[in-house]
Amino acid sequence: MDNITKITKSLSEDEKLVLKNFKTNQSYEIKDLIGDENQAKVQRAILWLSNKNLVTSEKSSFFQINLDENGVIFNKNGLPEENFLKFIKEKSLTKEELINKGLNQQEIGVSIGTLKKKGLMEMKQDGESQVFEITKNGLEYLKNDSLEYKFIKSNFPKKIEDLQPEEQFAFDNLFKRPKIVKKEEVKSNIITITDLGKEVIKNSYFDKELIGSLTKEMLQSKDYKGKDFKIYDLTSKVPSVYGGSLHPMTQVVNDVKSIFLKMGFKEMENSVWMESSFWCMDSMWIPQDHPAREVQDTFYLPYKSNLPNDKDLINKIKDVHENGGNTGSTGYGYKWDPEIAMKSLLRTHTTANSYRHFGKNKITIPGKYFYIGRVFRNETISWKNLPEFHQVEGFIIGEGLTIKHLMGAIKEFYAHMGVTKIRFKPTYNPYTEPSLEAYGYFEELGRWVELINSGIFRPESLAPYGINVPVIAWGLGLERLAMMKHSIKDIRKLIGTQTDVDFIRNYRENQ
Amino acid sequence: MVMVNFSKDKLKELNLSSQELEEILFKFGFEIDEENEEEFKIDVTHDRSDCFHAYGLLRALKAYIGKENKNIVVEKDENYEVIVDESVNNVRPYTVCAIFKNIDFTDEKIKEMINIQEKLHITIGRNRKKSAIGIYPYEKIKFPITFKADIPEKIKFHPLNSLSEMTGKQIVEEHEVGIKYAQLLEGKEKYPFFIDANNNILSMPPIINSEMTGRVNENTKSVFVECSGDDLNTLSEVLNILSIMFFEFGAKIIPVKVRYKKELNSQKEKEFVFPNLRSNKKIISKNTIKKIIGEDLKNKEIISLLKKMQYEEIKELKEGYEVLIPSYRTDLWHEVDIADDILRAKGIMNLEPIIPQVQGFGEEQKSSIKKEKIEKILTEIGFNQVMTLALTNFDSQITQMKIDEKNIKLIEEIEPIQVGNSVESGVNMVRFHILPELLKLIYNNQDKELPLKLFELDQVAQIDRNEETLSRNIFHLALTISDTQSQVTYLRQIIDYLSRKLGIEFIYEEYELPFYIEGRCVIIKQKDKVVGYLGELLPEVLDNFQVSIPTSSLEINLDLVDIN
Repeated sequence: MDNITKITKSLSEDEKLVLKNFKTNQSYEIKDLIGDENQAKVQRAILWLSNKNLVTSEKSSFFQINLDENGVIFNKNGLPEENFLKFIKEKSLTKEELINKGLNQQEIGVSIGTLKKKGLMEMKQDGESQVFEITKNGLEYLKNDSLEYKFIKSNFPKKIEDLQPEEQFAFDNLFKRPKIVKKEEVKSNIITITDLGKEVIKNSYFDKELIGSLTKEMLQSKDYKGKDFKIYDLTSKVPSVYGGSLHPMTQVVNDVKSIFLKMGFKEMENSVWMESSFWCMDSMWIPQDHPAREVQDTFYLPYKSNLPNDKDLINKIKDVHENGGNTGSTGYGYKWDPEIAMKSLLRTHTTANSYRHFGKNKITIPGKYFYIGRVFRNETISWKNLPEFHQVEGFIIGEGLTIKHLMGAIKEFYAHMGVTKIRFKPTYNPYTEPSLEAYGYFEELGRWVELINSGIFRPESLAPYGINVPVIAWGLGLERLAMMKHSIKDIRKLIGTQTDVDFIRNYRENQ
Repeated sequence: MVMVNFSKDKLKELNLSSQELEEILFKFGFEIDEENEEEFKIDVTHDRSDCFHAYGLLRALKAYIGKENKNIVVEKDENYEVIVDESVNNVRPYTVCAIFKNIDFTDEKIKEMINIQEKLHITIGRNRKKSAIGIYPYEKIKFPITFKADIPEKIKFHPLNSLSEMTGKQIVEEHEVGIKYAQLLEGKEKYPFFIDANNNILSMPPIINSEMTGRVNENTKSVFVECSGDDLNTLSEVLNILSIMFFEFGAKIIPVKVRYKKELNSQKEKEFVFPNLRSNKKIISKNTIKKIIGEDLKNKEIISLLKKMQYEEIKELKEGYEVLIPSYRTDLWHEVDIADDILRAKGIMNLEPIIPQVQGFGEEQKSSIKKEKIEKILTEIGFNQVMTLALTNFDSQITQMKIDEKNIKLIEEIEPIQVGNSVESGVNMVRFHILPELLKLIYNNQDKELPLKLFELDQVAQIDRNEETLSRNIFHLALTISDTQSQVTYLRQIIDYLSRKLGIEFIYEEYELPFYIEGRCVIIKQKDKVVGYLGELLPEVLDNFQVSIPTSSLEINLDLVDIN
């Protein structure tokens, strides 16, 4: 197939419609091609044609001069100052007489100024009244048509660059006066057929009906026989399509979950976002005046929670806060206030759910448990921070567990995440002792990242539930992990109403 | 973490390199945050309030590397007395006091003194509520001092940073510091103050000192220190931390007798002498050490580790050790805390991790399994999962959705959870349905290639007065399709497909909801149970969210959907 035929057979119906115009003319102003209907379609077709070099488009712009409102009137009646002059040619006249001749107040006003300035007329006192008298120059002036008069009598529109010097002079004078002439920018886009285009029009396939979309009906009726197919360009860019995708956070949650399941952990029952201070704080021996409980960090809610029905448990919690109960601890030495424990809040950590499970007797010993959920902090939304995030918590309960087992469990957990270089640092948590931060060395980042906080639950936090075997526990926030995995700088692109849907559509899973 | 400025001179005293310092600090759980030519800025964990001042940290480091610390000596009683009037019982019932004499004040020491005051106020002092500290030039005061309370209009003195005398009332209403801490005295009939034998008011705790007697400068040689608050033990701990600092400044510690005319708890006259720097005896069992650390440490090692952590007079018993706990340690409630100190002294890096051999079978909750199934089906047919916040507002959840504010009802009546104190403007509610959040998200993605096929599968919450917490969480599935034209029928096909794949059957019945076009809305039922709804959004509602793409949605309460 020769190239011209190939191009001809690939033309769309719209392209053909546009091209057909060029059988009669070489060039068109674009607006003449577009017409009133289907503007977008024609415009698109012209763009395609010019991409294929079948037409060229030449854009230009120039200024055009036209008569304005007053100009149209003066074209018919003449310039008012010249009419004024003609009226007084024979005899000096008063203002009233001029009005009687058909000039209006405004015209008279303008004319007086212009005529006096040019020295064509003088004002004289004739007895009581004032009269206008023509001068010698005035008489001379009337012998020929003025440049301005000639100008407004000429043909419009005119291009500004075509003006002769006298026309330019007249235009400049008139343009200063209100609404006689106007200057407008005119944009022009001239579409011209190329030699290649001409060849295409001449090609035998140009006027032939070609099969576009092949239909079921055509196949059944065998209508396609003896016909040619339109050529589709499958090499060019096409609109995107998207598949479904899990949210990157779901992926991270699922990954972490599968690590726990592989390590033999049971998922804890789901729990509520709106918690009591009792379960979020008091239940694990966080003192009632601990800074973490202050309003600036925690979402307190305008409700009052109930305390659990288990009065015995409440008394034990009270004792362990006040005097250490039977744990050998000194306790905090204050008076435990049930009102503080009843304050409603949005839970600040998932540890609240672990202690709920202790309190509701939902744990078997020995055992391994985990839970993933949203937690809340009263903070503003920024590129690196959201007021809520996902936290995972895992714990192992059983005889003989020590800090070395905690380190071992974390090591195993990190290993499942592909991190083998780890480092521990002692830290302080109100409900664990000892407490450790666990850093992992992330090869792809080339640095240590502190992801995990951990510890052995304090005896004071366990005694009220009758638990006297060790519990080793660790937790981590998942948003940070997701941001690291997908190199996300702005958390808002991932979570919340400012999410970038294209990121969700296009990210590479399981990186 | 609390930041301590640790000068490089002190490092010389320890004879350590920067790196050695860093390693020891790491063992303690501390960190060098910044280093410049003169000093280190060191982050100290909250529990170690004794190390909040550089001199306390220096003592801890000295003990760790085996250098001798000066023995703390309290001088003989010189009959200084502070009388506590019972009038303070209703406002600020306790105070503890001490005098520190012969201090050679320097700029650095004054700075350290101001810093530690601030740190203790914020941490142990709980922003001056639990404990507030006042420090006064001793030379300007005449003993005995009285701590009492009176109505605010009657307390009159010249406070620091003011041009003239003010009354207690004026101070809390007009003075910068007074306004800041006014809430600590809010609703109190009488305000507390210290007054000396010359009838000069020293201060009005926990707010401010007087200009005349409350300003320490380089010419000051001795100071009177009081801590006031509501818990005697805490106050004593705070005073002890300060005593160590002044002692390390080179001061002599002079005790002060505090006589309570009618002590709050006992309602009797009581007398205490402060500071109480006696160490406390405590026994830690060998078993506890082993249970925490997981190793049979030799006696010798344990004793040496305890010494490194400033424990005194360590005696080995049959089952454990008797130790004296320094008076300035405020973080030792239980023997596990001592075991933790032993662990830190030993160094966590010197322990070999052991993988726990606790048996268990991995098991997921049913709700998780259900969630994963549905996520899989929806992503397979081209839906993109998104995640919005649970925190939102009344306007988008209710008003913009055209839901009646007085009768919030979708399928049944709902009482939403209100959030009162958010620092993020535009947050005043927890979501009870997901659709409005998706509409806001669609608004931000209108420039993207259509159709937008989105879903969110997560929880919502609402008030439930039958529950202990007064609330309930529910798993919801919300799905939206936004395209150049309405796709509500397609959405019906999707939910049909979903139910087929889940092996369940849904029934659809005509329904009306305020945010859907009338005649283009159904409820979704499983058997007799209404589980959700589906429909095409009203242009007016789309307009409320400034969305200009035709959108249809469905939302299902998944907790109500039974899947075999």
